[in-house]
Amino acid sequence: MIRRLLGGWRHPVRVLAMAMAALSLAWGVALTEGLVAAMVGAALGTVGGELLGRSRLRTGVTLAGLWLLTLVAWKGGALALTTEFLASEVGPGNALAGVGVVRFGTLAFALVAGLRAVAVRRPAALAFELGFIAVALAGVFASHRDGVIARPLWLSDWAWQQGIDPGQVFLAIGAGAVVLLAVLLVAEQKSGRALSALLALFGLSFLAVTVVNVVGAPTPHPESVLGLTDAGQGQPPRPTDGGTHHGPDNGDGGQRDPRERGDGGGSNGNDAGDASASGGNDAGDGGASGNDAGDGGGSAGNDAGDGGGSSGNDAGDGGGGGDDAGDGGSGAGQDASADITMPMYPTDGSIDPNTPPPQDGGANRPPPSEQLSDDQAPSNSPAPMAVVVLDNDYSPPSGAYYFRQEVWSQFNGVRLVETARNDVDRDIADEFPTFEQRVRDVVGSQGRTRVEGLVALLVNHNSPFALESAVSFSPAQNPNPQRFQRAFRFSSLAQSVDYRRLLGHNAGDPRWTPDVRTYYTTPHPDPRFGQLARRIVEQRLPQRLRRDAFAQALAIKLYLDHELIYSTRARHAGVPDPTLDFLFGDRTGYCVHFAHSAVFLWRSLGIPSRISTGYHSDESNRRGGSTIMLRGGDAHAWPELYVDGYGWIVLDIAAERNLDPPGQAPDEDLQRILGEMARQQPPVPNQPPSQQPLRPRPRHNYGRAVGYGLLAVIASVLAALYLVKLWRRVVPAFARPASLPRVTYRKALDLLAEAGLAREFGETRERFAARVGETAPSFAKMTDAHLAAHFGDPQKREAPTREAWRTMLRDVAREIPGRTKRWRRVLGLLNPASWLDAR
Amino acid sequence: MTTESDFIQSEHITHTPAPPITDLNGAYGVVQRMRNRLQMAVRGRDEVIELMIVALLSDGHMLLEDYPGSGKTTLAKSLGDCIIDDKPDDDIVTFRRIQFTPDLLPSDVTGTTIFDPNTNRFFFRAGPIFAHVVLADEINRTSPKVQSAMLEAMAEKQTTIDNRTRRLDDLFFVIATQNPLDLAGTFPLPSAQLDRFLFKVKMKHIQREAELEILASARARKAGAGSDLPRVTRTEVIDARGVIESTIHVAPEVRECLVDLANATRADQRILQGASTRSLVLMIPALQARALTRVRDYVSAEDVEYLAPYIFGHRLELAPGTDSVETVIRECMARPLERLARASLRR
Repeated sequence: MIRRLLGGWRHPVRVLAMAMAALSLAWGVALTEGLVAAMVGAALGTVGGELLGRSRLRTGVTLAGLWLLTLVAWKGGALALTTEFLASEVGPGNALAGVGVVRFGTLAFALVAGLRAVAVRRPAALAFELGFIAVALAGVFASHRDGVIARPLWLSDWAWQQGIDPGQVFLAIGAGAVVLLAVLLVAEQKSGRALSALLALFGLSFLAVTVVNVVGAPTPHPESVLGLTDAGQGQPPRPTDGGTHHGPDNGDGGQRDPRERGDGGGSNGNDAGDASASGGNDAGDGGASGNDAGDGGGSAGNDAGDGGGSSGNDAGDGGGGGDDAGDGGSGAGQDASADITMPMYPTDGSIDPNTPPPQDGGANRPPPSEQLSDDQAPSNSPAPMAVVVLDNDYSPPSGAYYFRQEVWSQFNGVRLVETARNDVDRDIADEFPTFEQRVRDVVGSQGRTRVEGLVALLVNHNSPFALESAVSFSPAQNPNPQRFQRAFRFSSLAQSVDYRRLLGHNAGDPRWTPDVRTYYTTPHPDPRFGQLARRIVEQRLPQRLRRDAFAQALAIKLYLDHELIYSTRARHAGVPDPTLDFLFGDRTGYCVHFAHSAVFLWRSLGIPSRISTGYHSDESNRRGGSTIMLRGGDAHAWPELYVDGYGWIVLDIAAERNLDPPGQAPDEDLQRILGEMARQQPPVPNQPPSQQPLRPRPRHNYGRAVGYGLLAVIASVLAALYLVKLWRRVVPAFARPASLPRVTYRKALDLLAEAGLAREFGETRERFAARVGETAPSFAKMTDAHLAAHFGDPQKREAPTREAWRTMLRDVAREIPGRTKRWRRVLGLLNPASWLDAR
Repeated sequence: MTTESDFIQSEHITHTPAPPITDLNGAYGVVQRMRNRLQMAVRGRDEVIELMIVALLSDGHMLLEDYPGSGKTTLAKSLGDCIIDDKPDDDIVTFRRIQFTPDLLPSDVTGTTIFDPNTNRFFFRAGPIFAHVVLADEINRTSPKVQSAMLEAMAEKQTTIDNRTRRLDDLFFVIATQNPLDLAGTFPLPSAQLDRFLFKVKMKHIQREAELEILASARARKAGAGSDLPRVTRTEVIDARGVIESTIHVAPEVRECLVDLANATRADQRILQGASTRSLVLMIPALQARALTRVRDYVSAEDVEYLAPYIFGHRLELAPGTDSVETVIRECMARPLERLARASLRR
């Protein structure tokens, strides 16, 4: 009954499958009209192929005709497009669409009709038809090979949001496709064994899903980034060379990691790459990036980020100065226009002609992020970048955790960049720790509490980060190499003193040399900073606090909080000095602009200050057991000032007005899952492994159990089948004479079955013998002897001797190889179940 | 009394009596001789000839359905020709043909009593039914009364005339024909009477080559080609029947297969009236005879597959709107045949 049902539906199902296959293949190549034409052509081709196959035309003629048709349509289309006639008659747009319709419609028709026509004539050719469908389907998912699970983005994003591993979704889709193809295959089969084949295929699909659990989901190549990231591009372009900067890569909204400094140089290059990576679409932007190339690097970092951030989501991020290219990519998503513009501080180039473009970027270095941070909920990219698990219950006075990764303190004429000196900013780590490593300088210990924690990176970063202010880093075992890129631990002295207590302390450290002090207070040459700063202090501070450095800084911060407007769309790109353009312009921008404004204002009053970049996460995002999930959108840059005795104090600008849409709340399930994964790491990493016996928690992996169970079942079934096969092969040599007619004949049947010749249901032995007569003429004689032995009168029979049976068998065995193909026999020999056909 | 036909046949009696048939070799010799003569006489009808020999050897009757001029009469006549009446004194001839018409009376078939003024007594004048081979031409064209007279003769090998029962010869073999065309003015045979026929054979048009050969050899046959081939005697045929029945082995699995087959026809939705038990009983000798024609001393699945359509074809009553009866039978047969085939690999 199932077969009848399938039989009735196979034509509609095939038409539909072919249309969808044509759609997938033409996707991205053809215009909308072409896609529709391809689908219609495929559907018509199915019908036409069926008719052609049943017609009396020779197969060769049919195929040649279809090929000719394709050729004519394709060449004719090219001709129509290269001459002016068609375009001038109907307009270029219509001409393009019309030619696309003709070309893709004809191509799909010819391809599908050819496949179908051949399949009608030769059932074995059905494989090509099904292969065509399979290839089309695989094409959609091809980018996800090697275990990269980020593509297609719309699907993996959806899966992550549901808390499902996209790998499982892909597997399920694959299994579904297998079943669909199997159904099509079975629907075509006439023989009774097809149904069992269907069952077997269901079993295989199930097995595939479970075995993947046994073996583990395919792991991405080391050089590619986990499925979580966008991969390849991973590295945001970072302008390192400039030395200046490197950005914090925070910018990357995307999944890719933020920082890879290494790349620096080729910011453009990279960006472009990103762009394409993310969308494929942005090619256009590429151009843009080209322009900015100059801008460079710094921004690039950011951009990349954006790109990465799955295009859809982060569009917003575009912010980073460098972003250009990157943004472009993301741009595809939402703010294409914004992104395109780019670099925030394009100028560097001009200013610093010597430096290569990347540097520029650096110079500007926009930090990372695009986002601002402060109060605002991180909006953009929800892609998780890292998971931080704090060992201590620490609650920051500022209400937010600041994870410092890089520091920009050197003024390059336009903006702050990473320092080129080695006697300053020694409180961060440049490299991941291979043993417990203290930062070179620990500054300030008053008003601070020790906080330790584990960081598990989901994407590659260029350098480690820690809760401000880091004291030491140490390596940690990666709790789940399939999910995390690496893990490390940090120990920090985090601010615990309330901001009010900082009033009355001097800014700067008396131990600094004058040179260092000058370095940290180098102001922007524009006099308006100083004027504005002094006006703020005078207007906002009571007399007694006007000399107090921290009060001054706070007043400026509060002023900026009130006056500045947060928007990731305002990039202030393409102007010589973005900070000036921002602060003395529309005052709309994001964290990089805010931080630069604050630092320049502070420095104009002589307050030592700098910008730190890294991640920022609101305390409210902390979840069970101090797990903090850092997302692409949490990348941030913030101003800091040095308070004597207390070290570098974060005094972030929190704009009261925000033009950006609120971001997505963190996915709590994902955060919890990642946190638990990260937590499997034993808390104390420093002890030698030998003293720390690994006690793997017994995990009940039912998928694995089922998978191994199934494997065992299959192995034993195979072994049993082969044993039976072997037994049937050798038993005629020593069977009792009474059994000879049966076992000898059975062996001959086995030999024929291996050659692909099996008796049909209801076929008599004589008829079967006649049918295989061409292959084994002497089989008929053996059949007669066999039947006579069984159906004849037992009393009167004089049975052939053992020798006679042996001779008959030898004749049959000799005849088969000469008349069947070698590969057929080898396959038959290997087939453990061939003897099941010998009935 | 002596009739003209007796006179004609008397020359055959001079024929040397053949040794009695006691084993399968002898029985197969009978088959061979009949086959050779018949194949010489009628070209392109090997299958019908085969069936006819099987029917003759299994003591059944045969119904041919074909168009006029397709060789039915020639076939029946040749069969009569190849049987030698070695019992000339019993008033029974080897071959008679009865052309059935609507106005035919039973006595025209069976014979009647006639008053002889010379002896002042009634004596019986045998009808054409008293023959070894009777060709009942267009049997569906006569009235049921005449048909029923035939019926008794075919079933019981006897006929009752004037309330006196007379036995027919043991070798009483009826070949009836009916014309599928012009059904107007016919009396279709009731199914009870159809059941008397072992086989119903629908003759198909013969192959082109065979037809060409017939045209080419028409003159030679007119000149009596093949008439010198050895014939068989009535006694030989009857002996062969006995040998076949006692010697050809019917395995229990074969009988099971027949029962399964009958049950399959009874269970099939498309069949209103399945195969009767009597048809199975009749089938056994037919299978044995068929095995002999294939030079086997056992009945095999092939015999069942070959004969079933001819045996059941006219006995099954199909529901309206069903496919051809051959298709239905073939589908009903598949499962029992599969079981039978697999039986041979079982211990």
